[in-house]
Amino acid sequence: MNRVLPASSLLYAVALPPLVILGLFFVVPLCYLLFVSFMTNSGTSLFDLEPTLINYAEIFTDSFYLLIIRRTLLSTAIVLALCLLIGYPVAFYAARLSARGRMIMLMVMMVPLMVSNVVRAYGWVAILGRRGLVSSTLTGVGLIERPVQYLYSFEAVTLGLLTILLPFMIVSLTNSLTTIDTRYTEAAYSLGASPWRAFLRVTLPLSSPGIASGLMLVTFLTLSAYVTIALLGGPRYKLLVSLVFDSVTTFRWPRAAALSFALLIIALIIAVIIQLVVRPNRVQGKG
Amino acid sequence: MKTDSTTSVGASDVRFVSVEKSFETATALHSLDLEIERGTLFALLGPSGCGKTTTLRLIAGFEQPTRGQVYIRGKDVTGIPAYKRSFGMVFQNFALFPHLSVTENVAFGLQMRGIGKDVIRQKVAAVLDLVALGKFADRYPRQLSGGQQQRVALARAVVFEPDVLLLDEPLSALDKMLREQMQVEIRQLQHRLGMTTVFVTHDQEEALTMSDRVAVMNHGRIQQAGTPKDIYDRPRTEFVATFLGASNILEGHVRGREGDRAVVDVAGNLIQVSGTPVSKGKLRFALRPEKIVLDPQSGIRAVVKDVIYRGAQTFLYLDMGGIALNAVLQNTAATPADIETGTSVGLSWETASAVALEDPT
Ligand SMILES: Nc1ncnc2c1ncn2[C@@H]1O[C@H](COP(=O)(O)OP(=O)(O)OP(=O)(O)O)[C@@H](O)[C@H]1O
Ligand SMILES: [Mg+2]
Repeated sequence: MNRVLPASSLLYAVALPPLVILGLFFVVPLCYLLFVSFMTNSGTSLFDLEPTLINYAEIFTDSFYLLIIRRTLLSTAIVLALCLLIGYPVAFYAARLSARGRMIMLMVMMVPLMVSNVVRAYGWVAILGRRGLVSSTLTGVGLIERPVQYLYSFEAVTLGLLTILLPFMIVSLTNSLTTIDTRYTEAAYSLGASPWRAFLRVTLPLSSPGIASGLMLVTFLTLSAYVTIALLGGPRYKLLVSLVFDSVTTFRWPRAAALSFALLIIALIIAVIIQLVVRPNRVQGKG
Repeated sequence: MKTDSTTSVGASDVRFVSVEKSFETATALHSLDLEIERGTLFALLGPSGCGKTTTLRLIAGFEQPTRGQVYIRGKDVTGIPAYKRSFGMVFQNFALFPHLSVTENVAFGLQMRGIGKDVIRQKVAAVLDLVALGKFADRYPRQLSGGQQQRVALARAVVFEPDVLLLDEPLSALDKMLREQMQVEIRQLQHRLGMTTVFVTHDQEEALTMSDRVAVMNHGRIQQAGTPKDIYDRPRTEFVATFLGASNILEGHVRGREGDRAVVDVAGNLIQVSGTPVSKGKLRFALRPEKIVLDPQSGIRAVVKDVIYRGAQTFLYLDMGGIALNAVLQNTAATPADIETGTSVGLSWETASAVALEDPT
């Protein structure tokens, strides 16, 4: 007689390989990183096996680190706000197109994403640099007297991040908006709601899953967008992720590990805030 | 302001004047005239795709007519968007806002009208009591059964006392038991509130039992409108006769007239048909199976092909000189218990039961 495998063990067998991979390449290194972050920086090896809290203590007391953390939070908040404010109307428009029109529009928006971030960042360098397009045009027409460096500023980094991340936001919002049954809007109209009020009371809350997932995506990508931040922020406008890199290049691995964890915690806190404010679960009628 | 004769017709709540609705691909409604009196429960009945939903959406203002005018309470509302019209609507899938509780759903229409919080609270509580959902006020739509959701949708649509209540197949999502219960409830609610109500259904039984008036639609046209009894007893077209209940459709040559009735020869049987001015040529008419009774004295004879006993009724499949005829007999004490297949029986009916049809043969 053949022994029939029970369904649960089959499920287990299917789920096992991915779980192993996840454990091996994600959980284990993460634990190791956490371990390293509590070790002493060493000039010669990866770290000295001497437990310490100094890496974290410095991050949360040193005024330079605090400045960078504040700056990171501010930049993230501004990028999130701009992505939402610009992305929502675009997504709203896209959601009303025919399925084909929508697909074409989203594809066109995705095309720039196929170009490497490095190339695109250098594109901005060519536009915003001291001898770049903007500066030389403005000097040419006499609006400014001598070339101005528009790079290495909050604005340059924000602009760079925005152009990379906006499509993610728009795709996420569009997906969410297209799944909202038009009957809900019609029901709102039937109850006397003007289009604007129908939007505020019905469409907007029903799109909250798209808002939440879009904001989370943009948050994570902003916090980890090293190339864009490094090239457009330069030495003058660094964010937390730049400091991770700096610590690595100066061989302070435990410091880099601690900074990574600070970044991770910030990301998680922002994610929780997004969930609490946007409340995507309410679409399922859970308050 | 347009001056129009319709403004004087105070009693009609919904009026269509030659309304035509075309979509890119097809014409859904052809020159529709419709008049719904205040306070009536009006059913739009017809097969799938005949334009019932389109008609309802035109009243609502979700669609605008390609041609013609729509009036609500004597006011020309053609071109006026939905949210500026006063109507309540129950959608086919209820369309309750999933992110709002029962109370918030029901309060929505009142809030949009800028009514004070205290009044809203009272009205919502009152209407939830009316539909027996007081206990579910804080639940979310997901946490309700189909019948409960349906009642919330109804409460939400009537709480702000709209001029017109629109129901698009409100009961089709419910099982038979619940559907019959809700039919009664909607009817009672409509009577209590006296609200002009238009409801769409493709269920003829539902249309007959619930409504004061029925319009039978087919292919984007109203075939016939009137009271359920009127339409059932005096169908004007073959479509109406067969869509609303069952009918024998018979045809024969007119042999002459007897008073206001034509005498038609159907396979050698002379049958009087009411409601037609025709005095010669061919004539088609409808005869309901349950109007036929057995009558040994009658000169109209048919051969019994099959007998199906169905408890309260007996179905007879007859052959009247080569023409198939169905009859349904009530199994009262007076009906003969056994009817043998193959025997010849005499048939009779009230003369008014044979109704001339208008559509071309
Ligand atoms: N938005 C639209 N675009 C194109 N054609 C449409 C549209 N809405 C309806 N139609 C067409 O108009 C006709 C009438 O549609 P309608 O929805 O009014 O039918 P219905 O009587 O409600 O049918 P059902 O009982 O199936 O709901 C159909 O042939 C349908 O295909
Ligand atoms: Mg329909």
